[in-house]
Amino acid sequence: LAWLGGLALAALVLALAAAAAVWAWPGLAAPWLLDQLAPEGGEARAQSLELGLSPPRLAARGLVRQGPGAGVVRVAELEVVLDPAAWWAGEPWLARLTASGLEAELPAPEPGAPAGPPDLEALGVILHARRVRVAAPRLELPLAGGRLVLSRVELEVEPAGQKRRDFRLAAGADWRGPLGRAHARLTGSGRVSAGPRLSAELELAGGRLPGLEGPARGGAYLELTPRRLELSSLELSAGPLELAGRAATDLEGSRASLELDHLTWRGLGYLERAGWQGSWGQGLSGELTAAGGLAAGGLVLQGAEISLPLAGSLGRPRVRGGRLVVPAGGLAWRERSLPAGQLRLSGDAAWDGAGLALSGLELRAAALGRLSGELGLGPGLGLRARGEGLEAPALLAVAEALAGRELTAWRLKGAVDLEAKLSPGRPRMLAATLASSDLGAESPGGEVMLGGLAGRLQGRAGLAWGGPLAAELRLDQGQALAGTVFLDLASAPLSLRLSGRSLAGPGLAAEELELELAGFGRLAGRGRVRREQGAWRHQGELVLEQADLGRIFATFVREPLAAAQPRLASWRVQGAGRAELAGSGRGLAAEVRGRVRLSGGSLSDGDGRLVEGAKLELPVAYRLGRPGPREPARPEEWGRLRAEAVRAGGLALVGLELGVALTPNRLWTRGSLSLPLWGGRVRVSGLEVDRPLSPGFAARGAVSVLELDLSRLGGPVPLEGLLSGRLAPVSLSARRLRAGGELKGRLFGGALTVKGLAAEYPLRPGRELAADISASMMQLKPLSRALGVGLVTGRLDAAAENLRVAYGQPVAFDLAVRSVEAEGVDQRVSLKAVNTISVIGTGSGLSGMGVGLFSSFFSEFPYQKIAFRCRLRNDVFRLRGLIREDGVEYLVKRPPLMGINVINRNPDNRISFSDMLKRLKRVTQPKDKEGS
Amino acid sequence: MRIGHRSRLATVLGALTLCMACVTVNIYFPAAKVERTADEIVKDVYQGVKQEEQKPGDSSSLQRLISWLGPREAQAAEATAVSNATIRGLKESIKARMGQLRKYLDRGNVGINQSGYLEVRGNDGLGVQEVAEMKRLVNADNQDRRRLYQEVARALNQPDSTPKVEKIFAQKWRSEAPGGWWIQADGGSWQKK
Repeated sequence: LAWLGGLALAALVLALAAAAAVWAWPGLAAPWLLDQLAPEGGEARAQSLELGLSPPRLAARGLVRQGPGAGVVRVAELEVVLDPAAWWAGEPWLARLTASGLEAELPAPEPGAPAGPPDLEALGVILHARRVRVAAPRLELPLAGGRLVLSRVELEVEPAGQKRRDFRLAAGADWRGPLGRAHARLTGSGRVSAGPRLSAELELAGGRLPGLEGPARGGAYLELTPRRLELSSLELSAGPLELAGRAATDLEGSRASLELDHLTWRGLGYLERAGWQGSWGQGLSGELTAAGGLAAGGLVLQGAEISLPLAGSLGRPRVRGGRLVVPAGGLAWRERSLPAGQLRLSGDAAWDGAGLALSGLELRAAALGRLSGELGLGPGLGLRARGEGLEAPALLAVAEALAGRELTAWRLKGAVDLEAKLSPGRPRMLAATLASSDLGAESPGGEVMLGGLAGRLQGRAGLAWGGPLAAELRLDQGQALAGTVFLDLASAPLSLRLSGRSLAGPGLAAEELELELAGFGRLAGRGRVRREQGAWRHQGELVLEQADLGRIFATFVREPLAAAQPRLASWRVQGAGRAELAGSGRGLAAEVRGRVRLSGGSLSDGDGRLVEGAKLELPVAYRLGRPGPREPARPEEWGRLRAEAVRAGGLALVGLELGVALTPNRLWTRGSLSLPLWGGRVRVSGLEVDRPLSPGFAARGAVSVLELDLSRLGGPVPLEGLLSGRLAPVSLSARRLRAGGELKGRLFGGALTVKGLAAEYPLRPGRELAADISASMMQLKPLSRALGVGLVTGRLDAAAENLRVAYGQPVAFDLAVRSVEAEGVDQRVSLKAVNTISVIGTGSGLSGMGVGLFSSFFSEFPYQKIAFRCRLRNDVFRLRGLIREDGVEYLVKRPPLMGINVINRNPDNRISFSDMLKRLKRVTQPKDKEGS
Repeated sequence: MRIGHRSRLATVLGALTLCMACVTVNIYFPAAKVERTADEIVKDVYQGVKQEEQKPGDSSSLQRLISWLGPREAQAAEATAVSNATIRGLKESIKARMGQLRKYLDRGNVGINQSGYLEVRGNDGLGVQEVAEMKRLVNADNQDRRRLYQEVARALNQPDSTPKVEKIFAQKWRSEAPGGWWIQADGGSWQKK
């Protein structure tokens, strides 16, 4: 016990000695203090350190504290004054704390270091201080993945009562992190009370927030305890962003909430209300719900209900199964409602610190269908979208609403599948595939129709001028109708391939173009088209290969026109075509040069081949939109048309060869066509065709006829005679044919003249042919035999003027027939012939006893004159005798002594067409065998 | 005296001039004849359609007797109507085509417009190939109708009167059309007959 008591006494003496030493020389405690201030593994040093004991006081200059993981803290001047008496009385014992020139640079926590709530117990120290004044030029500390620099920090704390301290804070804050840079001037004033509890009014001014143009300002009422942080009356305005609301969280981040009364982002959108309850400490959770809309760049989305289940972390938030619902009519573009119906968008989103990735997106639009996809926003902007069964009419309606104008007056029906991908890079590439199994379209007025289209369009384009372009279209099902031209794509699949690049202007340079309509032909080429000074300038080359003339003819000529031209239905064409064309021009004015070749051509109808072995070699030098044709002079401007055989309407030509040339709106021929016809020849020369490829074509030429044998004409009456002459000019159009000149020849021994040849609608089945035909001094005997109406001898003049024939029947004529006395020519008429004239002229044949008496003695009678006129108009024949004697009108006048008169006693002798047919039937089906 | 002579001469010349100025040349247009023609042609074209509509048992015995005893329309018309080979041929062409067109007229895809021509009203219920056939038939038929009107006017020696002929035919095509066909009124509205 004595030993222990001695030891304690010694310790007390030593302590008192040490205290006395420190009392006398306070600097002796400086090393100990610095050692206590030094961080683990680091150091603390000061230029000068003064300690005083009355009152207890610490003053330091050039104090530095640094160490691994602790960063660096520098204080230019520090003064701490204690009040032990106040401590003893339980009052604030830190009489004064003054720091100036405080600078700190604190490192970010080590990766993987446990993150916990900040320790705010130290805040309670303020409650033990009477006055605090801190001036810090620069404090740098880690915050939210970035660095926060507080500059010109000024903090003053003053007493405000028992366990209450008021404080004022002002600092410049500058944060740099993944989102960019934010800076502002922060001021605040508030109170620290027991708990400790900190409440303050904070104000933000003169700053900027990352990604937001314009000054940032705002304020909030903050309450902070060691367990909880609340921000109420939160208001923030930063450039286009304005918000108001409140937020609260415990410091562990396990229970947090956010309520926004409104959020407006000018040029982007707004939220009328938003709320979130969840956690953020151990990762984000909870669901953010909001109602609002978008208003960006003309796109307006109203009344949207948003639900975003949050995951990830504050630094890298994610959304899983987010939903956005927009009511019908809630989507508009430039004040035009988009007719998409109700929209439901769902999907996931993730922010990786640099960009936003939207995945598993599914957009269901009531009027459109379902669209799915992915979208990446940020440095590597990318988009991938898929749509299945998208209603084409609704897509068009949306596209038109977006465009603000009618894109096309066509009506669409059916659905399409869409896949699009926007790839990052320079230039950005957009690849899209459009597929359909049943798509239809109809042009305004129904001139063009597409139905049941099945196929695929694939395209790839760089979204910058000069970027590559490629497209491939394949249609292998469906039907197309243009006007009356019908095409079944199942039997003639269409494929189109295009590759090239876009041109500024805009324009397109096609390096490769291939268009193939299976069975019809293949078109290949390349070229450029560019918009310049308000018009399209174009140039290119095209080669048409393997053109099947048969299918082209059937599709574009026979089938469309067969309803109006039934004869075409039996026509068949064979042959192959090839064209090599190069052209350039501006707008509709273009110059085309090249060559067209047709080979192996033939045309046949139900009765056989009309044209065989046709070949065409035609140079083309065509200027579209330039009038003024001229006959080509240079040999290279002329081509050849050849055919081994041509047969039409009794014409038969072997070895046709004709020079042909094509100039703007005119087809020229050189040489002539000489065709054998009815034992003679027909020669066509000087043939020119204006607008040869138009329904309004007009052809001109001359036709020479040499000794056509009329007996080979065919028809109900076998003719005897020859016909020659020249018809010029001959003009032919779809509306009419006109032939100048006349043909002359012999007919039944008389002189025949045919002139005024014409036709209305010469290419239609109901063409109406017209001519004036006259014959003089015809021998009646062979004529009457040919007619089979009974024997008549003598000579006859006949003139049929204004003759018009259609559908194989006469439409109108004025026929005058007069017998002509000729020396040495007997004039006799058989009883049958008289009967024929009587039946036709009066409707009744010879009858009575006199006739019977005559006929029993005579079969022929002399006649003095036969003369009558027959006029056909409006299906009514008017037959009048031209011999008038003593008030009697004769058709046949007998000689004074003997014979038979045929007298017309009806001054208005009208015979209907049907009656005439009956009369003709009566006289052409004789009961006796006479007539030879 | 001389002055008086000149005055009388001037008065006479003035009166003559006035008379000449008042002369109106009237060209008679035989509307009744054209109506008769239109009636005959239209009824003949529609005959096949209406015969199918009106089954044999539909008419009374008295009607059939009167019909048999009365003049045949075709015969009676020939004396009073306009006709020639072209008109008859065009009529037969239109009549023959009516059999193919009827299904489109019955369905309402084709109607008769106020000018008396066929008009495609819509493609409802038709495939593209049927639409092609319909259009070809309508085009061909309208070509024939147009030429028919021209030919009637020409047969009357009044080629400039084609519009008048067309108007009369337009009325007849519509008034005689079978029930169920779509007809365009003069005001432009379409009605199902």
